Amino acid sequence: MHARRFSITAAVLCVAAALLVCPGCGDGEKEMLFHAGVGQRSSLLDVQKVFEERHPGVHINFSFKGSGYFIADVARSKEGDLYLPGEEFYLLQAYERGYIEKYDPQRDVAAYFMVVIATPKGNPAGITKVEDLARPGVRVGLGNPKACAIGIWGEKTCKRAGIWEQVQKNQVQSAKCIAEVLTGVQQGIADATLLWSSSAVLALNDIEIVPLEPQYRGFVKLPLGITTFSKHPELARQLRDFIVSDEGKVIFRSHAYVTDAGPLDAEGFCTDGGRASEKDMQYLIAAAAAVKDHSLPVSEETVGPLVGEVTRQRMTTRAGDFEVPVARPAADGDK
Amino acid sequence: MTVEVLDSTDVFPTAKRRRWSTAIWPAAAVGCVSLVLLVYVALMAGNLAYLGLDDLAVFLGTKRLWVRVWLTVWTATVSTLLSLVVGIPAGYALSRLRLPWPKLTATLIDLPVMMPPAAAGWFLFGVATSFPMKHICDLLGLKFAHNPNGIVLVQFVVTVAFCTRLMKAGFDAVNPRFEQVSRSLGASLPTTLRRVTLPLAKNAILASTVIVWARAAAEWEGLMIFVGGTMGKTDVLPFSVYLDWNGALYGPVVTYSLVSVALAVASMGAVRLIGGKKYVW
Repeated sequence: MHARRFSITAAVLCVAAALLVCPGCGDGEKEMLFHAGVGQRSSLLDVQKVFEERHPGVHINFSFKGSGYFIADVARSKEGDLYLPGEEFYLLQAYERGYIEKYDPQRDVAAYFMVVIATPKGNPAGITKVEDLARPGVRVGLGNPKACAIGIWGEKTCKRAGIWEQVQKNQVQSAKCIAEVLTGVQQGIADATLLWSSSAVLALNDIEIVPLEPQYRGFVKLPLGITTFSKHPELARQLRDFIVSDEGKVIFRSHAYVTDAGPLDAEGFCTDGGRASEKDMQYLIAAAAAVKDHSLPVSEETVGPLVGEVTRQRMTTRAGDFEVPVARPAADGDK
Repeated sequence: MTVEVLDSTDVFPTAKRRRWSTAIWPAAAVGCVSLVLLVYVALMAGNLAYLGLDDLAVFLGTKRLWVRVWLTVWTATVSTLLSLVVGIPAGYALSRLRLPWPKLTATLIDLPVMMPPAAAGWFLFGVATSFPMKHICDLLGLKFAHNPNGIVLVQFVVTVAFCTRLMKAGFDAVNPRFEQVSRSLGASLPTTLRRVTLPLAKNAILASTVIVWARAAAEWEGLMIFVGGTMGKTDVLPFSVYLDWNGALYGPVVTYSLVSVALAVASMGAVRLIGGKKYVW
């Protein structure tokens, strides 16, 4: 008797298993697939919210990963509609292989990464400028140039400042991705590091921002491409246009990306003395203070576009993915 | 904690050495166990302190956490059931039948246990995207990339060998005499299986099932490569930890880690309850 009950239970469970697998088999709505660097998650989720609101029945799925994994993925799967890597190099690579439709390097830019100096909470080593990274005894965390774009930029920035030799002696970390660089400084393994502003902004409870002098301030273009095998090319085009529109830019700015980097030299360093980006840098520093000290006022005046970020990080001691209103252009907000 | 000291006369024949060893070895063993436990407790406590109880309450209350827990639980359950369907007969065959080239067969069966899950993911990628599997899947409308089906498949591939191995151990522990007696009394092989072998191996099977389930729930490297991480669709707990860590969402990261550990502890506790003192592995 007992054994029979056992086999009946097993049979029922198998049927239940088969039924459970089926809901994934497909439904009527239009599903898009968006390949993107993991770092762009916060802004893209806001983009998704607005875009899905305006296109009922459309659902955007994201495949977040290191930008370099895209080629391996699509070479086999031939799936996905858009690609937004954290470096133009990756997009061009995909373009050369015929995975990306016509790409306009002027227009198809979502935003820019800006390089900043980050230190653990309280800035224990007293870092005030990039040259301090070369001071004996300062522990510097950097990315591995072979593994991630921030690693390349750590090296480039230090070379531009003429401190690369000494910084290499101070280096305590060679991280394989930017999240690891951020964790390093957040946990106090390093006294200082170089990060994108958009990554630094995520952990303002645990780190401080030190502005990078304009002549050493680098910017990295975030390009956007439509795949040649897109199943919804028209929607993909609309989504791209939305991201590069003013509305899209407001969203990216609200996550500490820079949308107006000003004139840059061939290597990507700022040439206007920081005129275009200085405000963004100051807002980020003010936001770092406001997240930690709840008595500081939070408004457009003090932290500029980062009101949402500061609000989110003030909710808990350790940052969580709480919903804050999506940033909209001023004209929209007035309505 | 009490330590049972086995009669060590056979191992350490001289009286002098026996006294020394009876004092030192249990102490060392207890010391090691305490150290391991201490590390675990410190890890949990450290993480709790980092997060704070207020934050923990907030993050435990988020819907996304429970959606992800549910995805992990159901995919692991389905893949475990599939593993059992293959693993129980295969384990029985390995335990009872004389297979041709026994060593080669056993090695091949064990292969996925040793193989890195990432490699398994990559192999699956190759199989699923080339002839003939690609065409069969297209025909059936079965999707694996960026789909929960893929999670189940990866978990199944990673755990099935593991499951077979555990089941073999379970059947090995059942004395074949009982089966022989059943057969000699006129019961057919299926009846013997159903009424003698399976009931006797029941505890081992149940305990193994829990271990297989826990292994499936912890799988993610193969997933990352074969299925791809799509938020809200294929982000099982271990994958969420990685994804949210990348977004510097340390609150959810710590919470997911704690919940994963709680799931693991609960499943291992279940093994102890079900398995009793029987050896499983």
